Amino acid sequence: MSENAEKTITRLGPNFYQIPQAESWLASMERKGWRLSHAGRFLCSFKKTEPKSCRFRLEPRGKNPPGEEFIDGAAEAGWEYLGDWMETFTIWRSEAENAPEFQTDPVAQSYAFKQLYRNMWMNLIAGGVMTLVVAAIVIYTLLNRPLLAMLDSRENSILIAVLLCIWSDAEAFSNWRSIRKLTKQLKSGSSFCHEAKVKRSLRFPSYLAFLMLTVIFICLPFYSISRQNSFSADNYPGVLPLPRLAELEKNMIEQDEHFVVNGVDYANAAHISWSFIAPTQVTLSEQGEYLDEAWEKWEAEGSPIDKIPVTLKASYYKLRPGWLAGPMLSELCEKWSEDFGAEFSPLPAGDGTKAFFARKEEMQFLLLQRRNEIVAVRYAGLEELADRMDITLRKLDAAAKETL
Amino acid sequence: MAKKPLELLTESMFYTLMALLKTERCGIEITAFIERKTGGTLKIGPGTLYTILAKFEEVGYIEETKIEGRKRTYRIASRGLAAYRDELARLRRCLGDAEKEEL
Repeated sequence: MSENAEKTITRLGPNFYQIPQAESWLASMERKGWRLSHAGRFLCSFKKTEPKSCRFRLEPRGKNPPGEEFIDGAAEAGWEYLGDWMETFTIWRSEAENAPEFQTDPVAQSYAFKQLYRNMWMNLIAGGVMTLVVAAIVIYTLLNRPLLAMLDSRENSILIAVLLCIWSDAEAFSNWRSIRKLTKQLKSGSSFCHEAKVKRSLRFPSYLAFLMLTVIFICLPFYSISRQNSFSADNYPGVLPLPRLAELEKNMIEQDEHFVVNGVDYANAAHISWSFIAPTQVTLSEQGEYLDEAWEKWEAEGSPIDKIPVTLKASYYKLRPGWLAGPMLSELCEKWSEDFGAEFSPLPAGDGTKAFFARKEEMQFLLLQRRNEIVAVRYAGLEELADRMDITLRKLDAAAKETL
Repeated sequence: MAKKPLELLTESMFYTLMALLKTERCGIEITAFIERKTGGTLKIGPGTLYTILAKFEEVGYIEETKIEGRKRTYRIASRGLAAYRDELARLRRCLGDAEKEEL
């Protein structure tokens, strides 16, 4: 066996639904000395051979591969069966210049194409319906407050799924059109030309984009989970970019451990998570009660409850790109206005920081935006949150210094 | 439900039925018959022959009678015979009209 015959190469394959182009490309590879050995979904393998001029023909396969008699009969007529592509097309090759054309009756040839065309049409409908359903979910979610929705990495995955569905449908539609055109031509009694220039300029970037999106789609949930964690508030690693309850309160409070699971007190916990637009997200939940000393001060006023509770829920977002911070601040204002009936007013904060404050009954709300960072605080207690804004800003500065 | 008959019989289809009119034949024998009968003017490609045989079997024009090793033998069925005769009658009408026109 010569050394050359053992050489193999792999190339990005043609779009087999563009039949004339695919046949021409396979023939051109053979003229360069590479014979097709395997045709995969995206890649084709070739073995080194003597350069030859030959013809390739692709035929719709149908449900079953060609029978032995068919293969033998074709071989007698000078046509070699090379296998099939994705159980959709059979691939035939002939070196003999005087071998009859593989198909000599366009109308008969159209029968196999009609079945393929029908199957492609059904798949196109099914794929289109699925894309519409997924797209409807995304549109419904994003219509309202898109940035807040995108904070959840699951929404990121759904968005990528929509892009993949659209890519897949676009390719399926293009292939369907190609087969439809060939089928109509055959039904009218005209053969199609097997010589066509192969247009490869867009195929590689298109397949590369599809591959990258698929990899991201598969890896995203795992990456997102790896970036999630929960800590008891006291055990947060590093500087927490949010004010703690004990820092806000001038009065003494008691915070007991509740709901401890795997060493994390979920009643007083900090959770970190990740999404494309907010790679750093921290949510802090704390609760407590005012100590007896504080309670006694209000006992005389006939407080209707045994102990005065105090709660804090604060979120920190670092956005990418930074210009999303302004629109997200607006969405948070809208959401809390709608959810809690809070009416926000601007607060002077200086130093390029925007601040908004609202109060509704016992709840106080503070929203801060500084460059690409947002802090959102909900507090129910006896302090004036607006007067304690400086603590929040100091925590932001401290966290930024730690990052540097 | 009976399969719909084919809308038209092309020349290749007509000669394929003709090849099975009097005797059973396999694919290679059908090709040889057509080449002999037409003096080589009608060449039927391997893809065309086996597409036609598959289609004829699907619509009930022919039946497979035996399989010997890699060889499958067919015979014409009654529906195929009727389709052949219809096409023959049509061709005779065309020929008759053409000959009258020439006189």
